[in-house]
Amino acid sequence: MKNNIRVERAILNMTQQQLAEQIGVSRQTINAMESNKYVPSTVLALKIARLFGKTVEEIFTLEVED
Amino acid sequence: MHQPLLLHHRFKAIGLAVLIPSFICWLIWTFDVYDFPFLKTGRGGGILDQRNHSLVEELIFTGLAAGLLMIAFSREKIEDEYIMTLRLQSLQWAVLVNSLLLVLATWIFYGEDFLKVMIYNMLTVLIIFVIRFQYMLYSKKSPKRTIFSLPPRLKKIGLLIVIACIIAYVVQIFEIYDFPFLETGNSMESSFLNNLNYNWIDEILTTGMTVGLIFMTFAREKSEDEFIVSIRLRSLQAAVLLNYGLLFLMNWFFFEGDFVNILIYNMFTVLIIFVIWFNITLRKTSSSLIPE
Repeated sequence: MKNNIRVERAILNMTQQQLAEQIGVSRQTINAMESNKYVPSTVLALKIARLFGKTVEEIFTLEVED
Repeated sequence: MHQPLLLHHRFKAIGLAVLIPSFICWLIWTFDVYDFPFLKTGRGGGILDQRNHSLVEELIFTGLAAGLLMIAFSREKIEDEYIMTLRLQSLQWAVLVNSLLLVLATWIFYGEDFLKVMIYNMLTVLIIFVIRFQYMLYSKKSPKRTIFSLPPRLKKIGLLIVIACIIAYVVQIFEIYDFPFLETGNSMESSFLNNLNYNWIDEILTTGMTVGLIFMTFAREKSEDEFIVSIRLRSLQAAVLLNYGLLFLMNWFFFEGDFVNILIYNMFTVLIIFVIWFNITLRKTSSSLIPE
C-alpha cells in the first residue's frame, strides 16, 4: 500500500512531530507510514484522512502486490 | 480493540530502580565480596551454592526478573498501534534468537557450565527483547520490520519432531533403551540429564524439541492474515508473561535438583505455552465466527 502522507503534510506545512501530536500517535509511527514500513489500522487511516480533510482513498492507494 | 497487557509508563523507571540494585547484589554475591549472612536459612543447598542455602538466590532472581519484566512491559510515553507492533515483533525476534542460542549452547557447554547457561536463560529472553525493542524504536536506519514466519507445512513436521523427542525422552528416563550408539565414550564429560555416562542424547533431544517447537510456533496458518498475526503476537506476549509467572513461583518452591528440572523444562515452556495458547485462541475465534 502506498500513501501520500508526506505530500499532504508538506501542503499543511507540518512536521512529523506536529502531525503525530494532532492525531495522538508517536513520531515513529508517522515516519514508518511515510516510508511505507507500516500499514496503519483503519482507525488511524480514518483519523489521518479527517485531519487532511480528504477521503481515505485520496491518501492511501493499493498496489499491485496487495 | 483489546488492550494488551502493559504497565503504566512510570514502571519503566521503577523497573530500573529494582534492576540496578539487584544486579549489584548479584555481582557482590557472585564474586564473593559479601555473602549476606542474615539471609541464611540453614536449609539445604541452593541452585548455585550447594553447601549453604540462603534466600539470596531467590531474592536476586526475583529482583532481576521483576525489574526486567517492568522495563519490558511498561507502556512507552505514547503507546500507539505501531509501537505495539514493534513491541510484539521484537518479542518474537527475542524468543527466536534465544531459542537458537540455547540450541547452540547445548552443544558447546557441559555439566556445571550448562547449568549456568540454563540459569542465565531464565532472563535472556527479556534482556534480548529490551535491547531489540529499544533498537527498533530509536534506530535511525529504521530496520526492516517484518514478521518472521515459516511455510505452513512445517507445523505438522514440527509436531512430529516434538512427539518423537518426547517418546525418546520417556524411553530414556524409564531406562527402556539407552541409545548406546550415541555414546561418546568420554565418561569424564557429564551431560546435564545423565551424570554417569556421557552421550549425545541430551543435545539431540534438546535440539529436536527446540526445532520442532520453533516450527510449530513460526509456521504460518494456511490463510495467515493480519488478524491471525495479531492473535499470534498477543499469544506470544501472554506466553512470555505466563512463563515468568510460573518461574517466579517455582523459584520460591523448588531447590537444588528439583530446580534444575524446572530449568530444563524452562528451555521449552515459552514455546509450549505459546503453541497451546495460540491454537486455543484461534479455534475460539473461528468458532465464534460461524455465519448466522
